[in-house]
Amino acid sequence: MATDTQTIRLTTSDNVEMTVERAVAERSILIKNLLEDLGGEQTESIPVPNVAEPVMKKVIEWCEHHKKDPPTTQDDDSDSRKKSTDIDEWDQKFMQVDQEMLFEIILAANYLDIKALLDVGCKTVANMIKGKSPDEIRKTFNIQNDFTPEEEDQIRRENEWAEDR
Amino acid sequence: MLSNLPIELLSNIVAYLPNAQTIHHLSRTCHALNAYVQKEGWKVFCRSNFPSIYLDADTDWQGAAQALTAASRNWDRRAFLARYLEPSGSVTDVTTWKPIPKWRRPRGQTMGYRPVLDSYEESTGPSWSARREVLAWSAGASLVVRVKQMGPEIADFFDRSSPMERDFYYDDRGHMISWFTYAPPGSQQGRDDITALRVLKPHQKDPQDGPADKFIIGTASGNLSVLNIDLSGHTRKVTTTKFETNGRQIRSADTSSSTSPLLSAVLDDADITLYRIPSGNDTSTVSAITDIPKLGSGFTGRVWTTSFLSNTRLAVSLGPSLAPLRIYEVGCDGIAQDPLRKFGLKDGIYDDKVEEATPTPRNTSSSTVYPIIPLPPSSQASRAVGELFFSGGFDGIVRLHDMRSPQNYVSTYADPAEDAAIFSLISLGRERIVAGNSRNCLIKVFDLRMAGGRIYHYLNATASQSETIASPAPKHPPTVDWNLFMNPRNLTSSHNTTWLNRWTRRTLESPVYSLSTPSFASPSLFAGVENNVVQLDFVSMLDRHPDPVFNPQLQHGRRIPRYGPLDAGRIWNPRGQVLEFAIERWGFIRGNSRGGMSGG
Repeated sequence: MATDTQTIRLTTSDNVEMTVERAVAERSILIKNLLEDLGGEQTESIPVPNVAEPVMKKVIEWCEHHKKDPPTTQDDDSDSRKKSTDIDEWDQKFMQVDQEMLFEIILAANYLDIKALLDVGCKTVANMIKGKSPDEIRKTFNIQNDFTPEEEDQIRRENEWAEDR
Repeated sequence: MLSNLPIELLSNIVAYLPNAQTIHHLSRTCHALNAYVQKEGWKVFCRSNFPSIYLDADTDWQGAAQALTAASRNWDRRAFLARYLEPSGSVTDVTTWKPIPKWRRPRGQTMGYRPVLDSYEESTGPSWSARREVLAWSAGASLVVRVKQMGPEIADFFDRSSPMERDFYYDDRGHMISWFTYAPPGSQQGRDDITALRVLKPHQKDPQDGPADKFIIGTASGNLSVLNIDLSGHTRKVTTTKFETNGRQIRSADTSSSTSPLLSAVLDDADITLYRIPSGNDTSTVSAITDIPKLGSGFTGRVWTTSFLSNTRLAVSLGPSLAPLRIYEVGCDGIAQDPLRKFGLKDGIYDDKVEEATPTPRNTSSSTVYPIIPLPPSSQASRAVGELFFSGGFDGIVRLHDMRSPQNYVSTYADPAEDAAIFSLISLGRERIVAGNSRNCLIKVFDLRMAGGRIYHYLNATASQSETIASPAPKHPPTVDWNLFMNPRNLTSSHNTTWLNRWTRRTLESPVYSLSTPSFASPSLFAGVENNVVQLDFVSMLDRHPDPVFNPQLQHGRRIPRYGPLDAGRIWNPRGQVLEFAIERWGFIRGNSRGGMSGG
């Protein structure tokens, strides 16, 4: 079973070379397709121009943990998708990073096409927004309030209906 | 970082937000997020929280979010207003295009008429409330049609009308109402009663039909035809195309949802026919593509209904039989002679050989199915169209069947007390199913939402709002099924409408023959009982922000005050027509696992 421990090399945007188990890297559909297209033994390092080393490390950590998960299907059946509060414990801990890193992980997961990681990241952000007042959301995400008081009042009134549902 | 994420990633996040309040709060943080919410956010909210309620891409999504969340909460709280419907005000007889000063229901029969209903609605402008709703029903030998127009334009007309005009042309919500009646020439009450009725939907209209609506009617005397009626009244024309029936009585009919629709009909006791519905005003008689007499096998029971599960599958209900539910392949070239699959109603798997070895008629698994309806797909992307469907049986049980499972059924919905036959069924997306009982004017409402599924529930909103309260949000809001008895308790009050005079014991114990809703997004449900049609509007009288269709002016605070006390009676029941019904709720009872729901 030589293929099980086969490794590949990745070069991140900050020019760091990383050696990764092929099965782990293939959680990324982008890398998986690339390797399939190249065929055979891959000796060259694969450039990942959109992801820096610290983020790539986190992504690889996640992929290691989820190496044995069944592959995600393309069947997007909303009935079977879970509520945003349902994130497994390991993933919750994994996502306890500073906000910049959280968004970097989301962007990387999107670029590398790792749907399950993207979903966990988006659920984490959704949980940070849920149940908060506009002011609390601004504080949480360091958003500058660029409304005039009149504009803010108008938007508040226009969708007043949404306050109780 | 949040405010400058690419739109598709922001939408990915917003899809996990469970309530409208959070979306609203997001829009109040800054210009960039407000622009996102207006452009995409409400759409993502509607599509992820109400995946089975299909709306066009150019919908007013903010209005849709308000309407869908209001309706969902009102259904959960069992908040609705009920009225009897009867033509009044502007009524036109389309055979002569003359106004009818006072409409009278058919008379001279020992029983009241049995209404068959159908309806649709279409958008008529950019705002959510701009819509036109068409409701049709059979009243004995006549067809009755109501056209309701709503929206900002209609509200302007209303505001400029005199009180007399308002009474005549508008209902108490300020919607413009026009009634039409039609009876085929020479028809007689009783003999020529309409037993089947379908209205073609807007997407099925042919451009060469012009503004005309197509109504398909079938009668007890063997007349099956399409009526092209221009309800705008400009052309003042009604053209009729007949389908060949050879004089056989029409028992029921269904139409496919295709843009070149097919018509299936049950004739006499057990003959099934299929026709192509002609486009335009072609008036030459249409003969059947397929005619299967006696179900092709000398079947001696009765076939009750046919129902298109998809454009290629037709379900047939019959009985008494060991396999009272059969699925046929169908196409524009006809119906396959032999069924694709037979379903029994027993727990387990149906097998022709095993069943036929048991001697009939004493075989206890012999039963009858009446209505069949497809379960709408879980989202527009779903590929499992036509795989899942419901049946309503003589035994009072609603069953969910799955073509992909070998089992006869995968889930059941039943009421612990009332086990009379189910006569009618309708689904409201994948949110709820409503079953019409064969007695007591009773409808049963079953919640289809999966516990823990990613589906909207108003309790998710109110829970996140009150963070100061220590109790955690209920993770799985309770599923409550309930019964509604549509026999008014307030008949003795000051009602001055004619239906009071026609009130009889029979009406109060009537079956619910037919159910219809103009769309899954509509707050209205119509029910046909003996001699009457009931309209149920799912609104809450204390809600200051109901579905925008109930009054566009509400938005500007002209009708419902933003603050202060509400005079609910004056706002919602100015003409004193609202009926008082009894509700019985009986919590959560389910047969079998509900795993079958996740498939489509």
